Amino acid sequence: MAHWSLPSVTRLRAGWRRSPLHGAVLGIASVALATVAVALACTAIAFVVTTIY
Amino acid sequence: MLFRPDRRDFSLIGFYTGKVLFGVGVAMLIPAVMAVALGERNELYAFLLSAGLAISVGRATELLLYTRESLSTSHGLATVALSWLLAPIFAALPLLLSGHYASYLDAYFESMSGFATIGLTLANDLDHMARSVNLWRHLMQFIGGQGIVVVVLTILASAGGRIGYLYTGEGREEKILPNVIRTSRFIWRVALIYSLIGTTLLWIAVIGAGLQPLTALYHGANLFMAAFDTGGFATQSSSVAFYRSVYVEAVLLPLMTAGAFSFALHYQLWLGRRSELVYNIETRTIATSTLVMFAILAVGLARTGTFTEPGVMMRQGFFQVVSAHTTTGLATVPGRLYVTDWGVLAPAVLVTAMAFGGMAGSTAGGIKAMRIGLILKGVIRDVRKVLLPEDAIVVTTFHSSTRKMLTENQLRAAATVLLLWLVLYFGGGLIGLFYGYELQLSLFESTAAASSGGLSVGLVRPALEWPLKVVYIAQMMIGRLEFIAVFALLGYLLAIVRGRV
Amino acid sequence: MSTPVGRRPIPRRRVAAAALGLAAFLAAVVAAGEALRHPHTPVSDIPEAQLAGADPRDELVCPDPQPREGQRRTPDIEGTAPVRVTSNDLFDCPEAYDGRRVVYRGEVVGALLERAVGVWSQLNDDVYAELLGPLPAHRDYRGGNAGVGVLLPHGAVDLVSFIGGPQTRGDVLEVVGTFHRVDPTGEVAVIHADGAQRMADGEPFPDPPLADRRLAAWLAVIVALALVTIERVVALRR
Repeated sequence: MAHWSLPSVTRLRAGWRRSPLHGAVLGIASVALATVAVALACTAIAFVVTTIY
Repeated sequence: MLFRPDRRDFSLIGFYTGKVLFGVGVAMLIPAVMAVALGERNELYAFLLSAGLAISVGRATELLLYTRESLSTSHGLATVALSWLLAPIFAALPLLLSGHYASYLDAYFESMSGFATIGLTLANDLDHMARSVNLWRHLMQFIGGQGIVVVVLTILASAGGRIGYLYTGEGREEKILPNVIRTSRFIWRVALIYSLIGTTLLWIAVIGAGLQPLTALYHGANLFMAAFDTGGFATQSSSVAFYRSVYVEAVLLPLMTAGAFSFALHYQLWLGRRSELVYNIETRTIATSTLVMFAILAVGLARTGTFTEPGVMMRQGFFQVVSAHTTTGLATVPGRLYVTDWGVLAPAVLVTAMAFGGMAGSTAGGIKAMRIGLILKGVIRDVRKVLLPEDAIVVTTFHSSTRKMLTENQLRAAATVLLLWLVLYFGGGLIGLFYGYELQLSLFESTAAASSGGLSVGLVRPALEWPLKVVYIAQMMIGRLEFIAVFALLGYLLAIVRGRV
Repeated sequence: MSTPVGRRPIPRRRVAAAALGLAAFLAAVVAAGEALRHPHTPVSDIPEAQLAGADPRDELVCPDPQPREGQRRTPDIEGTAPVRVTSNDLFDCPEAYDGRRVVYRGEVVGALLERAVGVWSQLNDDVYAELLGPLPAHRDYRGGNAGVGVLLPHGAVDLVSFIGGPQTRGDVLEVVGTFHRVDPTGEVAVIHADGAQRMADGEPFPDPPLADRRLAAWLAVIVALALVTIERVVALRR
């Protein structure tokens, strides 16, 4: 009977990197990150402006 | 000195235009299927008729003008421009037959607004429109948006290393992927995956807003196409405000941003190079510009007392700024309120944001961040030259996937196109004055049309004077095709008349 | 400079003929489209004044003067007797009506969105709501929709049997409530209604299939299939 063992973390990671979904998740996460970053900065601006006026 | 086009030129341009018309015809079968499912009989007949016509004309042209040759750049540009003129004629047919458009001109305007992802609408009684017809309006934005990206990144990328940057964000030396087919495949893969994820997220958000699951899917899909392709059509006349949901708006924000990112940038991000977001000249320009514009908008709105809470300022103000800057055109505020409630400064910010636009090589319109960024760098360089000793050599670089040198030719090309854009914006604005519209309103609408922004203060409506409709149609087309394709087509026309034999 | 080898320029006359042919074909498409539209007469007997939509060139006449940029706004509440308004009134003079009690009447369209705070609805008071009825049941084109978002009390859902949309004319509700230029949850230009009444019933409106359109559709499909088949055959032969 063949001996079965858990795939190593390295192999899993390599498999994930090769999968087509990998790029998509990275890309979408980056866009979300960029949007959130700008939104946070604008929130700060909104606070400042509404406090002044 | 132009040579008169010969049989080969006509065959090439006609053949490929025929292919585009065929594609548009096939696309019309999608809403036809929906019409069957919903029992919208007259709309079904309208789509079958229009699809049949477009497919017939497309295939007939391909049969008559068959050629094995490949397109040169100028042929490609002329094909794009001709397709852009002819496709809306067929796409307008189901709109006209839906009974919601007063004339063929109105339906043609709507189709042009769809394919060019503008978002200005001449629909009458949108809230009672058949679902299949409304789906077609949004599909046009999807097709047109993705189509223009493919065109820009394939045809225009080969137009020359130096000016290529200005249209694609990439030059000939570094196309995204080594050949046209792989580039197009990548674009469609990005679009497909974003479609799946984006539609799902919106579907959930719209269900959360209170719609039934099946209806929510329909709304979600339409909203996705409007946002990702920076189009701006909406299913309801009240646009995004209809959903009364912060969650829907929150999901739309990154989708609009994704739509304004160039596909070259998407490629970098998909490879995991997040640093590109920080170093790329275009992302830097857009981020800075968004912050500055939001700040000015916030000041304007706060001073007139329109919004006094930071939460509301963010929800309404930030969304509108992003919608304008990405040239999407989805609105959370009734357009009339820009005039009656937002003072003068805030609407002016929205006009400027639309005018600036998104990244080159994306579905967004406007002057484009690349040109603005390059020109700003040029100005800074000139200032440095003045301040430094005379024999100092000033070298300016910019980052776009890789480090590049800023050359005089690039600057000159960027400045020339900037000038053309300003002429387009102001020209349309001045023509509006002729019909008695205030400068502020006229300029807003003209910029919305030319930049593909699509926010409206109410000028564009079915009762609009027909010459202005024609003017806006021309602006939409010229803006979307960024002058060069239109010039190529005009060049061919001129050559027919005056070219040497 | 002599003509490059291999060029066979087409005489201008042939180009002109081809262009005219193309133009004629496109004109035929447009004509066919016009002919296949819904066979209603594009005339209505409703007086023009009642149908006037918002024209951006119209002068704004508001109950109170709008403050200029830089001045502080204050809500103006003249007593609590609700005043009847249209969506045009509210959007033309949002500040004048901010915080005022209003009576508003409109067709329910789109959907009713149930929330914890109430039920959001969109009530349209344009000509398609009551005066003319929805398109495409007629050909009197009077512009886009006009309406206001209204937050109804929870019980109002039971009032509504028809929601306006494709092939359906919605119930007409009359609501009494407060107009908010900016409401506490961040919505813009909405009415918080405390009472609603159904004034008119909605109904599904039929769009009977048009025979000539069906015929044209079948013809187009047959021609398209024929051409596609021919093209396949020709391509295989090549």
